[in-house]
Amino acid sequence: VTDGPPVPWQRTEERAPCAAFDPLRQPLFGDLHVHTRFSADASIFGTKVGPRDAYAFAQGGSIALSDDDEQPTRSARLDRPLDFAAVTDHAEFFGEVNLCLTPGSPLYDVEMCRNLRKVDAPGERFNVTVQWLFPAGIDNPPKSHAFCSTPGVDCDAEAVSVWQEMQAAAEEAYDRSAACGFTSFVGYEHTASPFGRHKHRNVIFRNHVVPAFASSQLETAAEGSPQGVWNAVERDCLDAALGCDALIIPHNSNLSGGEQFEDPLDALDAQRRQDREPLVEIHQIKGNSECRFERLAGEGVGTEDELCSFEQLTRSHEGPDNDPPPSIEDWPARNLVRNTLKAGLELEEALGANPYRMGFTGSTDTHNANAGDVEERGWDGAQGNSDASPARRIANDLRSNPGGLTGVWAEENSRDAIFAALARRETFATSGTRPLVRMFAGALDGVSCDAPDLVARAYATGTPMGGEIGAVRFGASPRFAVLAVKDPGTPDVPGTDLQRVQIVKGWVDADGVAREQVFDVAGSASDGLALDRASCTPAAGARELCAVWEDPEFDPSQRAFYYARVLENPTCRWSTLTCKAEGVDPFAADCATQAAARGEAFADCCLTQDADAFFEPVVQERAWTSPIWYRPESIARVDGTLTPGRRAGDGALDLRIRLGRRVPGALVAGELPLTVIVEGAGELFRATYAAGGVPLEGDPADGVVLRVVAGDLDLARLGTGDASLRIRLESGPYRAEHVRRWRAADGVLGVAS
Amino acid sequence: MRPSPPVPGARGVGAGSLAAPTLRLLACGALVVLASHLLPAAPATTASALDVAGAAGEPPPDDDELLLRIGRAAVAADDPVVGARLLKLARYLELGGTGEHADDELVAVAREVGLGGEDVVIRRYLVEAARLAIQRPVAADAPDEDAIREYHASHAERFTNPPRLRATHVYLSAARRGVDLERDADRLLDELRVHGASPEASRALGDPFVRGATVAGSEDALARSFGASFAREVAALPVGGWHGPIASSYGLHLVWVEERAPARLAPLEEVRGRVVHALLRARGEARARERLAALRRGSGGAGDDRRAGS
Repeated sequence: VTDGPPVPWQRTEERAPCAAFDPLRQPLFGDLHVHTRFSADASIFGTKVGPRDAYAFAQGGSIALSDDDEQPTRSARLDRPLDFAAVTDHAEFFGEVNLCLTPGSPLYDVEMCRNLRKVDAPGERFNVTVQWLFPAGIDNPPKSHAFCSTPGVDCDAEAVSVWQEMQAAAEEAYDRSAACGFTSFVGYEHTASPFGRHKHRNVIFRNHVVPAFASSQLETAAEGSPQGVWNAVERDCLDAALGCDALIIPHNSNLSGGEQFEDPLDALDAQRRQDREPLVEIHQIKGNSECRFERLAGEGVGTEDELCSFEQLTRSHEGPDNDPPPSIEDWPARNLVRNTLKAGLELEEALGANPYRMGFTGSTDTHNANAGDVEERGWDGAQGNSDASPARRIANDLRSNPGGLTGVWAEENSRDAIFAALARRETFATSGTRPLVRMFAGALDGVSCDAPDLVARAYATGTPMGGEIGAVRFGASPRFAVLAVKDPGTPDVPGTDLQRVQIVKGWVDADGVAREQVFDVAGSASDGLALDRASCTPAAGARELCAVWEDPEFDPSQRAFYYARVLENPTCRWSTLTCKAEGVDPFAADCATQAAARGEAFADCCLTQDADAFFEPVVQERAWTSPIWYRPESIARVDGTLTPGRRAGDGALDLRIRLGRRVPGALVAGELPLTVIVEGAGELFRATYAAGGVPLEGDPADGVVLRVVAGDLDLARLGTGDASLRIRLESGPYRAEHVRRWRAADGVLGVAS
Repeated sequence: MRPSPPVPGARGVGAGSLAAPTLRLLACGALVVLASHLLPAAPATTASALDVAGAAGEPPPDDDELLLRIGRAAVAADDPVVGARLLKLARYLELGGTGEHADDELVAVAREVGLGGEDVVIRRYLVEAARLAIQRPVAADAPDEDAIREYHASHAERFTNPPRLRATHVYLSAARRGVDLERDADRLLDELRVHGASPEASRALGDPFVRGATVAGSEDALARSFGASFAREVAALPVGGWHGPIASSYGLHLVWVEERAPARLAPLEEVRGRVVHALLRARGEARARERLAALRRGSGGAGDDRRAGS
């Protein structure tokens, strides 16, 4: 394992230390959802390229894209390479697909293989799609397609071969040198689709240590969904004690018919979901999943937020029983992530554990291997020959969009650093552009928008996005700091200025009912609206926005989450740009005439937002930070010192951990055991106190303090500088954590005040 | 996203204009095995090779023409990709007239009138499939340790990390300071120099910056984050001392370069995966060149695969 500067996570790889290292973390952009020809649907769509092509494209290379005839006559290249990417092909039928694509294989000429390879127009492929993918949508699917029983055919072995090729492609693309130019992750998609309801999940592995077999829905269906994939990841990776680590990212909840986020079985199941699934993909080509507001009806799904009409699909799932889709009143609430987060608060009230503590990612879900190809102007499409030409994009896929990106704040561009950022949810999702945004919450003493060292102070006195806080200012509102800067863009395509920053709050009120409210905290809704519709040039706005905000309605007894949403000024949607390039101006009075002249495929160019509940020819690209959760039972404050020492055995700590008011009474009374864990460069300290022996001080009526004193510790690996520390408490279902960057002075680490 | 360039092959296979970076990724592979039979590991019979290479007395074919002939000789009669294209052409050209015809009848008519040999898309498909077939790595391509080390050393330019630097900067926000931006930057630069401020001490100066006070990476990486002109100017600064103001996409920056590292060949262990991948690709391409040359000479093959060069 490589040495490097002290970091608050464990280094698990052999690699050169990154030259570009920042203890206060740097922003990196990536795409964690990419399909290639190994995915059955991508091959049906005519995609010919594989994982190596996807990684090469992500790094700035060119890629061949299929045209309407499934011939690779188009090519594309990213103006701005990605920092990281994961190829996540559907694990269902890995082996079958590759045998069907390999000339000379015993299956090459069977009908299903020929169907997979033949050229179909989008409207002609229903039968072949059903033929290939239907088994992934039934309760008791076969482990493989029937043709795998052909003598001499071993689909399982071929699936392993594909999985190994995906690993090899990731390894070849990963820059292990000090330049740290690009990070690849090994991953795959587990595709449970009960009758068209997307319960899809991507499994992302931390490093090269991965299971020998990528367990798909075909292998895990009998164990339930998502429990089946959790079992597989725990059994074959996390509990295999081989240095394997993984996280699971659900996506497309907007197409799940309400089944992506079902109630947990119990508190253990809730905690298990929180542990296995720290993130959710909130935006991708098949729509946005944050929230939903139907403009013409003036109603939302648990929301009055009018900005929730952004990039919505018309269907709530893809099953045959979804025609017509449900009304807005009957729309499945948990198709939407914000509602799911609110449900998580309610469930935590009832169970003591929040199953839905998810940070945010954005990705493409491209089936063309063109990772991160999200530019609205001249969008290349993302689904083989389904949307290969402007005509097909407008006629068949008007409501799709170029997809999003994942931003992470990480010390360096390495697998360990990015995986750690994903695991602690220090992430933000974007709808494809690259603004930067950071959010912190806590006491935030000395943090202001005028403080040049805002970021350093915020890490020292607060927790970054993705974390949790307790009653850090006693009964007063925590402080929230949000700092956002515009996407600088490129010389050819400048970024769009920012319009405003909002904080979205969800909470459970005194009656136990989840509620939400959106606050504008910087900028204004009236800013930046003057889009030039002739040239699609956006109005000028803010290059950067900053706010330090307190919740005017904060109630210290009510659990809540807060996340920031950054809005750019309005711009022309990809479809508007495409139509204009084809000679059909959606804003023109004679749009219908222009469309008629251009051809029937372009009729929808003239769709207006006054005539459609969701379609918008003008959009506001945006970014979402992962939430920060306020938990009344979490740690209110930590004081004390930690002395790393110069050698093993020299270390010591003396911590005073003030607990929140809603900590379980039995714990405060000392009737439950309690484990204290301190993590920095890996786990630094762990102690379990038996019931009756928990070192609590103070009067329970005023809040108690847990006093932890220990010596002879091995803490030297923390080094001599400032250090990010995570303190965790565990007692049965009760958990709490406190994350801060501790300041070093005279060889002792202390909490900044 | 840059606009997609015109497809190079659209000018015709014979023009020698197929751009490998664009099209070599074509993975239809429908012809691989059959084409491989034409290009066996052991020296081939001259008969099949001459059929591909053309009759004596004709001018030697270029690579693309040769690959096209290989593709034509190897293609299955009912290849679905070719069939679909022929069907589309037959319908477009109304080869069936006004009557009702089965798809296979239309495909047959398209073949009869020569579309299979003339259509640009089909020609490109055949060429690339043949190219894939003869470039495809074989077990014998797996390099030993000596070959890997030699390739790493002899292609140092491909595995050399660019120069990089680490700097501390003081940021002045254009959005906050407006017309006073340049004046404020000049004044602050004077103060930093007069007081001999260290990089550490500077962190309490200027405006808050979302990326923090550290700038690190190669010129390309800096350009991606701060803009090309900023990256160029910072790359030219000496180590130590305050310099600027330098404009970026965000505002102005006063910069102290703390460390500069020259370009460095990455040790083999850091780039082993990339080296092996590049070596396999190079061996496949070399074998393809040799075989095409041998076919052009009429000998049918370049010999045993295991002797393919690197």
